[in-house]
Amino acid sequence: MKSMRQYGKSFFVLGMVVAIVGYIVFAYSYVYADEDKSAYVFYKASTLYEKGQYEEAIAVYEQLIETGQESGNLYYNIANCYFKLDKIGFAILNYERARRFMPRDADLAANYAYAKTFVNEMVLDAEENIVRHFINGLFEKTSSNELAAIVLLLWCVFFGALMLVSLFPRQKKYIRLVLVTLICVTGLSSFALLERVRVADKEAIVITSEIPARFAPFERATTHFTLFEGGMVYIIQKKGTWVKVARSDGKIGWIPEEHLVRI
Amino acid sequence: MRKIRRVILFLCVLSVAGVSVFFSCGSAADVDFEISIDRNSLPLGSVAQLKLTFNDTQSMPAPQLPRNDGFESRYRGPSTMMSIVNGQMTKSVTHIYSIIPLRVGNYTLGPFTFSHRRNTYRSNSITIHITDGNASPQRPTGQGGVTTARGSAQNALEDYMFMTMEPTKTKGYLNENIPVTIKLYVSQLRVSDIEYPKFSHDGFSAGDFEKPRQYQQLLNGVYYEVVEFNTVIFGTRAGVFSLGPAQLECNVLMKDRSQRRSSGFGGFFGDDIFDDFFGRYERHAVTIAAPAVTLTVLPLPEDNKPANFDGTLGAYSFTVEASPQTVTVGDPITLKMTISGTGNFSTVSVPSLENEEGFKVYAPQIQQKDDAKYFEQIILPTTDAVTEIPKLRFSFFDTEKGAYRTITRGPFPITVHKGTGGETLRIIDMPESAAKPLAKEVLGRDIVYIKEYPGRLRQKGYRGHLSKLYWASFGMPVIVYILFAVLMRRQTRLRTDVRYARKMHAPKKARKGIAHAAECLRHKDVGTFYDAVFKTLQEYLGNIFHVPAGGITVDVIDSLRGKHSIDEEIIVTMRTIFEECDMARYAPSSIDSAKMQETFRALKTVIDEIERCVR
Repeated sequence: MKSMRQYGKSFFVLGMVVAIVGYIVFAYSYVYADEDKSAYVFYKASTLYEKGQYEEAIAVYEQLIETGQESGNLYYNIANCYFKLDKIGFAILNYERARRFMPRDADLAANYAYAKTFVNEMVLDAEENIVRHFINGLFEKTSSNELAAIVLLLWCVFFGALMLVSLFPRQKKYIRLVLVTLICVTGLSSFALLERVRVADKEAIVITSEIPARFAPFERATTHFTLFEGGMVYIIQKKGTWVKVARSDGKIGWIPEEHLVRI
Repeated sequence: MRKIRRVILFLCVLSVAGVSVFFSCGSAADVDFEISIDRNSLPLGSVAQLKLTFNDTQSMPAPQLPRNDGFESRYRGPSTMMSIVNGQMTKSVTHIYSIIPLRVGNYTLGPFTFSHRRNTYRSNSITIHITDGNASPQRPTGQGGVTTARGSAQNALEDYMFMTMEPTKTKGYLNENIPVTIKLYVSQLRVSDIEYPKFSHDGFSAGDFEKPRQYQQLLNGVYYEVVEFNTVIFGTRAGVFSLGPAQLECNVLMKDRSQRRSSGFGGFFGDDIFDDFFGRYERHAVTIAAPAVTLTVLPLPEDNKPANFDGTLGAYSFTVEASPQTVTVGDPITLKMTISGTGNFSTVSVPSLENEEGFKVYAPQIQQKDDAKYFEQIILPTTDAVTEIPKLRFSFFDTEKGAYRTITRGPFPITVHKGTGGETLRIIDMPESAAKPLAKEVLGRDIVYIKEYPGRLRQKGYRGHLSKLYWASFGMPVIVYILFAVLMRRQTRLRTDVRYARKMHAPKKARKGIAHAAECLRHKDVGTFYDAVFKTLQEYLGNIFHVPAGGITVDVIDSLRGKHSIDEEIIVTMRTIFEECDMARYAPSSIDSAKMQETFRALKTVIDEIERCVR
């Protein structure tokens, strides 16, 4: 009985650690101060949108961003404004930003798919590794913060299960089955999370209608392929005012950095 | 001695390394920079090699060549060289560029100035003479000088290749079809991978290009290969608009004479034959542009617009055939209507009857060919009172004359008999929903409306999964698990190893016993005090040395001599305590409080000393 109490203490400590860390890491990111004022600014911008004053609406929405706040709804509305102004590149850029916050939002998915039809690019995706494609597809509808929380939680549950193996040796067989499942799920979600970490700040959207990607970082270099407004690229390297980018089909070239914006 | 040898060896190695590094780094003054070209005279349409060579170094990056109107350059790559002759080492790096001449003339390359790592390098200069291309075998002789479409001598690459964009008219009406022809002219060049041209058409809707035509055309005395692209545009709103400019991308194949493969036959056959045979060409991507054209889209006039005008534009004729002309009530009559001419047939709809009273009219079958549209419509007379098929009207806007026209055909006399055998015609209409064929629903498309609330706002740029605290928190469950494992192991040992368990619990029990003895000492209860002291010491020694507590006697204490590094003094003290406990049991009156204090201190000292020895 006494030892069970001590084991219970271990679980309690573990649970408290998870709760505290989770709160610090994720709740800290939310802004609680002055929500009324932010809502007012948001409403003011939405009114401008209704009147068709899209540029003014964008300026007001961006006031919220300048105060250090962001949300999926905010980027979604900004993207809609850019779409109405026929700036497909900026529209897709902001839709991508909104997807990082709310990947399961149906309105966002519909608008994003519609905006993509305006992208003048017929590019077949490179043959991605099947395993990577499958794992990324599993967690496509989870935001990065949600995925991070899932991984941390699974990690803690895994160690909790390890403790149970010691406490209940007779149930070892069943607990081991749970452990194997946990290892698989934790591994998959960790891989997906590491992919997100790898591409963080490296994905960008082309905002110029048409820009040639060259073999070398200067204007006289031969054109390799062309990038169109709204296309997504992955930034590999930066040299001066030029960046080396990879397109979805795997082609790599150099373009001036001013023609794209990082997501 | 050995140490000195090691130091000397280390210094020698260091010196050799230092000297090699020193000699491998050339100073700016030692590095030569020179430029060279494989030939000084280049015809248009060929490629030459320009080499920028840095001697006495191999670590120079490729310089960027300054812009020149006479030619284009493209970086091919570096080539390094190192040789040791008679103990003298020489090395160099050469950056190779392809030079493509664009216009005839004499050009000077260099001197180039290049800066690298705070050093500046200056090269020599060379002169290149760019000549006209070879004469085409198809060019007619005795026709006068060679001129281009622009009337000047062919002295630029664009004179060999240019593009035009021509609509058939520069003024048209809203929705009026305007054919547009884009022609690519190429002379004396090989071109491949020609893409369809692209042009901006703000204010117009453009159809797909037809299959391109290819032919030869003589223009100002020069034969050109022409690729012709045709399409049709029509204005979607009134105003003045700029069509184009049009752009077309293709590859120009240029002979690369610079890299001559060394053949074993050397000068016998010459390299040119093999070059031509194997076709050593380089592809260079080019973009050709045709200038923009201004078009005016006129709105349709409102004056004299017929009531039944529905947006048809063009110049048409309209004919109608109706058969049979003698029918029974309910029998079908077929109206075959033909609209032919020129115009936007997508705007042509079925002409309507002046009135449909007495007839049941069905939707027509429509067929369209290049310059005509056919409508075949069935009508059923529902009563024998009908004597004619009413007039059919077709209204359109004649774009050639700039006025509305209405062509009327009919009326067509018919004879309708009553049905025989008492059978009366009953035209049964199916319910509305089943009678009418389901028209394809045209859905609108636009983005979904904005969100009305800002949602959960968070700090901009913060991402939990990238923070160090997040990744550090993965260590917490590991630490907790390790602590848990250590605790489990200890508990298991305490459960299974009695000797270990007794030894672990001994100090705690001793402390309890000492506390009880102290309480008795405070109350000056001699008997209970010495009982507590005896029991405490006995149990403590039994737990520490894993013997039954009741078996601890003076003899056992004596046997501890020499074991566990216990001092003789402690052994003596223990004996004394036991003896005092015996005495207190039998003669308690001889014990005073000073004695009790002394015994208490001795007990604590013994336990502390034994703890120090056994831990």
